[in-house]
Amino acid sequence: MSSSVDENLKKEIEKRLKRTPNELENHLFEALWSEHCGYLHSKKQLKKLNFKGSLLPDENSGGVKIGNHGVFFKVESHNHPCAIEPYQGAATGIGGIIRDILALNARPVALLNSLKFAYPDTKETKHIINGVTKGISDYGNSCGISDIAGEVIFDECYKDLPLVNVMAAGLAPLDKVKLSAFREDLEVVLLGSATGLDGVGGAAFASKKLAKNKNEEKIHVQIGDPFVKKLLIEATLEILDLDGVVSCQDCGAAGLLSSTSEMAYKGKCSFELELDKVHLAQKNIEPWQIMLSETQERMVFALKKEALPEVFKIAQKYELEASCIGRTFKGSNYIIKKDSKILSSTPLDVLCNPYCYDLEPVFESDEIKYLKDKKCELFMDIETAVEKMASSYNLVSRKWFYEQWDYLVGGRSYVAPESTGVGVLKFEEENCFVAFCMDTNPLMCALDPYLGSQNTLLESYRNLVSSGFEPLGFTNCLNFASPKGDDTKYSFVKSIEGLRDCSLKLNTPVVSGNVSFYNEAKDKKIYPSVTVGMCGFLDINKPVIKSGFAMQDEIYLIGKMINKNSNVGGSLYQKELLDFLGGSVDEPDFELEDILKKTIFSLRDKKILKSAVDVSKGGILGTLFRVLCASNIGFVGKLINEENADDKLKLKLLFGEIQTRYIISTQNKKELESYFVENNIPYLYLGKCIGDKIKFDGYEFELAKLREKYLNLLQNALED
Amino acid sequence: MKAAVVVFLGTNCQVETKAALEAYGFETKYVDSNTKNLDEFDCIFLSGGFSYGDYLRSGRIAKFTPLVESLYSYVEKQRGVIAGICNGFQILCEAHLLPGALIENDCLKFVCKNTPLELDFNGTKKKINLPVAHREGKYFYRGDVSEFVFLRYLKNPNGSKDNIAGLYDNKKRIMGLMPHPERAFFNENFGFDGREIFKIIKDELKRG
Repeated sequence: MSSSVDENLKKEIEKRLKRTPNELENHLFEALWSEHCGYLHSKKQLKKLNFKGSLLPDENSGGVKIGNHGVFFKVESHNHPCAIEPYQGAATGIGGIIRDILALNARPVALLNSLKFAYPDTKETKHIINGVTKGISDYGNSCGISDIAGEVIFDECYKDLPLVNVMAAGLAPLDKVKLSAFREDLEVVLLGSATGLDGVGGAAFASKKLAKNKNEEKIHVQIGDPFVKKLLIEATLEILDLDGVVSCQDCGAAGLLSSTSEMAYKGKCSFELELDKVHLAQKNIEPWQIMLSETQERMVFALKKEALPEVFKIAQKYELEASCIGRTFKGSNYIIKKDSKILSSTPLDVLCNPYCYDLEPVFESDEIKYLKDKKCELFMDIETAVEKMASSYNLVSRKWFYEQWDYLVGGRSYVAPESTGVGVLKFEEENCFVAFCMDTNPLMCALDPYLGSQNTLLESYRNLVSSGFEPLGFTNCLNFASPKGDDTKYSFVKSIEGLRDCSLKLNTPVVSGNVSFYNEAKDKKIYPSVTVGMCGFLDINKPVIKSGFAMQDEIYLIGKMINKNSNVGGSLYQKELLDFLGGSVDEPDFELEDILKKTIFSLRDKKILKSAVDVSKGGILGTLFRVLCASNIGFVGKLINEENADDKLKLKLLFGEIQTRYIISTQNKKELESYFVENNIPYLYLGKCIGDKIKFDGYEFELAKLREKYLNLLQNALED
Repeated sequence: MKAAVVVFLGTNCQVETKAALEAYGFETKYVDSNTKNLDEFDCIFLSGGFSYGDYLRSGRIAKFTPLVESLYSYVEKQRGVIAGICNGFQILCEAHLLPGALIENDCLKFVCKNTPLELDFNGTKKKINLPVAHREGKYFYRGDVSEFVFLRYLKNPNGSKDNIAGLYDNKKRIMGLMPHPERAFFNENFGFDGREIFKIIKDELKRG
């Protein structure tokens, strides 16, 4: 068997198969028993998550129910391909996640992305950033799916190890949703691009560390064709509306093999695949390569024989190739035939049910303990700190990115990027808006994966709440180093437990997800990067709350108050200004979270609230800075509320990141304050929007100067 | 009034375009690339997107479809008005129904943003804002087309010659523009200035 399959796994396969697999079967097992397809190290842990209230979490993508519709959304990683070939890697990442949504007969209507790169100051990193951004642009724009929101994080831990997590969302009437399981006695049709050698072995490639020589890995990267994807979307939606079409799945990782075997396994029936029937892009392609090819833009359908002519007619209309590649029948085997000869017949419960590792018990290593106990004694003067934070790649506008992505196509987009914390779609079918956002907090997860992942989920939650949306459910992408490492095992397990506990407390289920391990290279690994994508709901008759300020707005902080004893471990300012990572991470206050949500919604309904934003990266001043620059408005106020604070404490109070806080604005100071008092809401008056300077506690900064950096820093860095 | 909304394979703005036309009182119908006769329509709309993937050059493949053939005879008969938005504009130029060409933006990137423009039609000038979303939107023509220009960028996003964002033919029966008026039509967050463009088309039709 191929060298990349672990010896113990080989033994396990032979034991379960009760024979030695043949050469073709070796390839099948190598793919399906890989981390990427089989979730060997994560499956047991993922079962811990809270799925209660989610819609079809076992399908290609899960979702939430709104009225008579399903809103399906899922995030997927394309990290390894983007490290090797950023443009195609990102493009096919988008392509793959679109198909997951499409398979349910849901029209994909929105894309989001969470991107992580090293600082954009080397040629290599700039190449990766430009390639990924253009890949998303060329693919998503051409497919006609708007790219409505996302995040970009810069940290040196992502050097040569970029993370590209893309999310898609789609809508479908519940009675039209199609599932993926085969049933007995159906014909199986493959629709779309002709199968070729591109991406062969991609699943196995994504299941290990990257090799030193990137060129050797290029063969594993798929190549996308957005025009064919656009046709495939329209054709698939027409086909899935036909009577007699039973199930559907996309061809993603491990191509035809993984899609058809999974469909058969789920449907508890046998499937016989005739390789001669598969439409191919080239001659001289081996059976195992046909099975494992990751040629893009292909979908698999199972249907009654009577529906075949209609399916081929639709394929022809969209100028797509289609072939009837096999059939299903009573049984439990996966059978591959060529020239009427059986090349392989394996029991589905062996093929599709790989051995799973136990990661537990796990232990907090001395290294993590040491980090947590570290105290930040470093400081700098406030003027320098503010100027430095204002030119932090992590805080400035993402305009350079989102202006390359069509955020308006499709006619559903409701707000411009960065005008709220979320992307918003109009969903007139159910008289509502739906919003989506994505968040990651690698620094907090590095220090405390349990609290870090909770705080990540809560950041998304607060993004939705600050825009006026009721959170409904979330998807997640767990990006980690090798699961063989003890620290990774520990942080992975704790992250899952953090997500579970937080999700239970917020009564917001996980609906779908993805795991990406092996994000490490020689002597180097990424911080645990738990990415959350969340979906929320708002009645169409209510206003979406903006984050921007206007002249004369009065600015308040509500929620937890920061003081000299607050835990601010994992705050961006420590890393960016002082090159320090350590200390305890703050714990959220779930009871207060709920009170603040009700407060914001109630102030909105009373028309006292003008705008709201959650306090996240960069703390109070970081958040204010972003909104003031985006709104092009000055501010005068008081932000430091400790007597005789020295520079170290001032830094903490201004930039420290604690949980459960929002900044809101009003033009009705009196009513707002009496609401706070009556309802016992913890609040602090920060100041007023006025003039063209940012002034607080004796400090003064020119808005225009800060704003120039806010708007142009990334463009200047990436286009020089 | 009856409008056709053309859908090539790869077109992706037809839904919004159709909705905008209907809001303006048009009776609308989608037509595909094989349509050979357009005489039943008072107005033909070529909407945005990426016809046939636009891999060779924007509009290059669409030019060879039966639909574009029937546009030629539609023009010859002086039947009605033709309007091309974004990819539609690119197709009209590629088919030589409008002068000039739309080439890659100076920044070599796709640009999606709200852009200030000057609308200059029948002697009245007006400032409006419309979203643009294209990578090949730089208008180029060797010669002077200024008398046919009705829309100019106030902040040129792509390097277009003379800030040209939209122009018509010498009979004012064919018009093309890169910005998307249908995206500034229904939603306060992106404004309602797109309605100005649809109004012009409606007025032109009334003029006969």
